[in-house]
Amino acid sequence: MNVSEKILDEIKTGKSAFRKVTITNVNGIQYIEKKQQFIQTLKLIGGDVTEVANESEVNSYLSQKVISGKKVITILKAEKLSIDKNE
Amino acid sequence: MSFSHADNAAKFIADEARTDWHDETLWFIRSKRDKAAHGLPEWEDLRQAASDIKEHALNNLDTYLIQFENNALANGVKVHWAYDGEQHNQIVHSILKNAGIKKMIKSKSMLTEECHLNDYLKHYGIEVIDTDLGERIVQLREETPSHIVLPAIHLKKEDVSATFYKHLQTEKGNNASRYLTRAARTHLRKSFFTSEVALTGVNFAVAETGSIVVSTNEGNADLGVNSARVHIASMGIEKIIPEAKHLAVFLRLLARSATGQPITTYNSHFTKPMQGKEMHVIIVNNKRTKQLANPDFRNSLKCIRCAACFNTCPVYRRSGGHSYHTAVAGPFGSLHLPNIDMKANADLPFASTPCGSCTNVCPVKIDIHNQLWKWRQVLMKDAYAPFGKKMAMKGMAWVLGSPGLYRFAGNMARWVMRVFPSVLKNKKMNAWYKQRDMPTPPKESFRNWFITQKKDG
Repeated sequence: MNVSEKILDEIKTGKSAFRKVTITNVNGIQYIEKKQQFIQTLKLIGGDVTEVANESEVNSYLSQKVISGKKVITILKAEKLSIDKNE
Repeated sequence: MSFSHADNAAKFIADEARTDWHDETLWFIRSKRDKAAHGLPEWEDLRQAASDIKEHALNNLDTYLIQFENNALANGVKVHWAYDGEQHNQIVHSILKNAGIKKMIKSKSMLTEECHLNDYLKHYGIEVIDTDLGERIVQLREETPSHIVLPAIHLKKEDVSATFYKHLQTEKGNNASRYLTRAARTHLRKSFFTSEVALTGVNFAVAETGSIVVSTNEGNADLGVNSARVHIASMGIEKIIPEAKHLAVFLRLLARSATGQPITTYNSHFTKPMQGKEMHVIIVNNKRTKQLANPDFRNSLKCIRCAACFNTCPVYRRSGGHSYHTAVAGPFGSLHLPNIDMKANADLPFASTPCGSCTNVCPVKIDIHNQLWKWRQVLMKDAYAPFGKKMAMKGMAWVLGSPGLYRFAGNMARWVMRVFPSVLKNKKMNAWYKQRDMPTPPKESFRNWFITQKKDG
């Protein structure tokens, strides 16, 4: 593997490692941090976060989906939360 | 110079008048930045757009780097990849060696400072002349830059005059700015026209076109590149932006955030080598992929090196850039450098209040103070904190973890403060007392007072 391949490979690996770590870490963090981290995660994994509908929807989503252990890539839309893609 | 920010800062602040002057000078630049930012109604929208563009670029960095490389190659540019600083220096050296060149001019590049390029090339007998005026002044004094935008901001014109008298044979004691500037210009002109290689940094690398953009106020990068036969540009992998139109966002933010100017004087686009000349771009990782994979510190790769966080930081302003014992000082250096060498830079994240002013002024919305706080946690956990601090933290955790112990410690502390005030006023034992008065100890704890008040109705 040459240098450019090594760097590009690390970038790709970093992206996938990042997904796992962050979703795992969501559990056990205080609510407001969960929300912020959740939105940040969505942005970082390429989600197009435009607006959060309201706090209770985010909280409800976190308790139902993320804490249950599923790996989910989600796009938060202006008025509602919707799951566009599951991994 | 010590490898402790606190020790270096203590030396810096010993000269109170200079400390006040340094503080005021940087605050003046911060005020100019505020005025420039407030003059744009869309300022906050620009910051958000810049942050989003960088986020998108980081999410797709692998794709954009390949796109940039392909376009640069198609333009006739030679593209090199360096895994770390050592490899970057080797590549620069091999280009110089192949061309049989022993002298190189260099415009400002924080990446080359990070890689210690000048020292590396000096070891091989190659002379490097920094052409940015501030960089040249500190180079003549054998110092590192104390600020990434204003490398000689720690020096007064009297210091510059003494430096030029020693190295450029100017008149002794002539402090006139115009005279000193003219002397610098005459001195540097020779180097511009006799050097065959010019190295520049990269402010932005445009994936869409494969071109690089270099921003300077002195025009030294342009003069150097246009005079030399070989142009080498060194860039970190995070300098990528997807399209040329995105420059409209970043260039407006960069100059205003850095110096309060509406636009940097020279924003030069280099796309391909001139006829008969060579252009090399070195894409450098130097542990940035490690930063990219870390959710806590990934955001710091958005940095556009404006140094607004330096100018606003109360610790930087009053402790000076050299207290950070690295060429990349200030709040950003404190974020960036522990990732490269955690042990050597373990003290830097503690050189912060952290008041959050850096985060407020950051044009790409990096949560700098939060990241410094997170670095402190990493450093304590990975045992890079000083032994005394580690023990103190363990002791505090033990005391605060038990209500009984906490009450006992409180009673003891109040008793010691009353009976043996000299212990707490001992400046060696209690650094806090060095510049502050100790409060008069209360007779009882708030808890006891509250219980008594409640009983008394």
